[in-house]
Amino acid sequence: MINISGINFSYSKKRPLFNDLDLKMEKGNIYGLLGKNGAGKTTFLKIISGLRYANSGDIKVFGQNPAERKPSFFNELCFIPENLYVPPLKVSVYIKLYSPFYPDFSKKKFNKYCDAFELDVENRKLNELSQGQKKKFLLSFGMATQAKFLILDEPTNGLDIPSKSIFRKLVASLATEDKIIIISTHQVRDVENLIDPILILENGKIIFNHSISELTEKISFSFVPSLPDDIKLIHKEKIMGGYMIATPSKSGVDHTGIDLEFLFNTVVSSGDKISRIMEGK
Amino acid sequence: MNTQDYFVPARLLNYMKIDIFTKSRLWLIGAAVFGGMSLLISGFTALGGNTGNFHFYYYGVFLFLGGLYTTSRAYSEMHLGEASYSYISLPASTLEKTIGKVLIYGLGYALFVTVFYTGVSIFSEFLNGIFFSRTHPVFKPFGYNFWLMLSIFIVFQTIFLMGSAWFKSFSFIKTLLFLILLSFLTFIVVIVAFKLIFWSFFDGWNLNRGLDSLLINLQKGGTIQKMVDAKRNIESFDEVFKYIWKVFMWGLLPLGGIASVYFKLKETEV
Repeated sequence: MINISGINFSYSKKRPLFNDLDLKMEKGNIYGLLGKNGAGKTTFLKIISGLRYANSGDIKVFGQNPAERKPSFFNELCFIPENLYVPPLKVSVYIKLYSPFYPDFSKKKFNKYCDAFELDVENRKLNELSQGQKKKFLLSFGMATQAKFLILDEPTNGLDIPSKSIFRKLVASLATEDKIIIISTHQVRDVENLIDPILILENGKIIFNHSISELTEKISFSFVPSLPDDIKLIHKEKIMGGYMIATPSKSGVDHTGIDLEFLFNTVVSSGDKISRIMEGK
Repeated sequence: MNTQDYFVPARLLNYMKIDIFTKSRLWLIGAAVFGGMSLLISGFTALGGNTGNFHFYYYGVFLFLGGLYTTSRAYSEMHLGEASYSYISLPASTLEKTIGKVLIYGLGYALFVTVFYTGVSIFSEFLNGIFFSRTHPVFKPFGYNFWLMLSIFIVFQTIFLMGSAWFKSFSFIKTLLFLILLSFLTFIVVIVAFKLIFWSFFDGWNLNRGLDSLLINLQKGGTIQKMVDAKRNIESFDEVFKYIWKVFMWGLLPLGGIASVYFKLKETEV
């Protein structure tokens, strides 16, 4: 599991990004990390993966401190950033050179993932592949390392439509009891029905950290053709043909399913109300 | 302490293999350029009647210019936004990431250039013999001067490796400027220190050495004992200076460079 307590971080003294941030993440989950631009998602991911140092506070990831940058930590980490880098090597050479660093790497699984993505690039140079192909290759390699801790920053950017659905299936199949997967994205529709729990980062704070079941137990998300008069609304948004509304689940409005974009807007605009309801106040 | 987290020889080799495979193109292009130029210049100088020790000096240029330039690019991936993610999160220890580069860009490069240039010089003189009936001595990687040159290269390589780790761009030029500045400052510090500590051996800014110093003592009415002391001081000063210089050049400078690389790698963030 991941245990973060009292993390402070700032790029400059005047503008702290994280102030006393606490968070616990459990194994066996695919966390969705959402937040506005500049909320600190990528910085947060860098800190928990040891690529950046927090100013103070404690972080333990599977019992290790990422800031120590030990090989035994990194060979259980697969971090696929938003902007990709691949060395000028043939795919087959890359596999030969990089796979020994990951003791659980499975060539069989790598081939399986490449086949699923319809990626046939064994004898091509990585730097000559398209952005989408590079992403598919790095995802396949990363998943084949069988790392316990996967961080995917905007993983669906650059993927074509069929590949996004394949990506969802493959990632869902990885979510075993011993792994933690974090997906940070703005493309929430690409990862709908995949990420659970949802984390929302705003102004350096985790303002929402709940599973979908916890959420739907207390809040209903519904589409209604017109706004009901007698119901306490948490948040509403006008959309084509009616309204999306969030209401306390006891209000009697049928829950019609969570739209992650709407959830995000609800939490960001009515964070206090959501917190009170989730805490049962 | 789990040593597996700090140093595993097999992991070091794997790390070095990545570097060799990804950077080999630069080495091969550089070798082709230097080798080709060597054939041309060697041909022209042989034609012009010069049969001096051309290959030894040309090897020196190849070793230093090529070696220090490639060394200054050793950590380039660490400074590139996207590449730095995969470089820092590569599961090798900081110690391995330091030693690996020292071995590849120091001993590895020197070995590569020496073997390659020995071949080039033999081929070049074979051609000169055929076309101009005049040859230079072929390059022989033996002898005191060769080992001295190689040793100086290894020391300087650690400084340029440090520059590669510290400077994000133009690391070759910046390291050269750093060395010039460092030499200038060292010169000033040494002169001032000498002036303060060994003031009796100075006359203004001029150092009075050996017989001059003894004569000055004599003129000042010094005793035989004072003259002997002054001579002994000068001799021991020379020895101490030589000793300090050796420790600095062959010990402190390369070890300081390597330690600086290690700590820079530790603190580098994405």
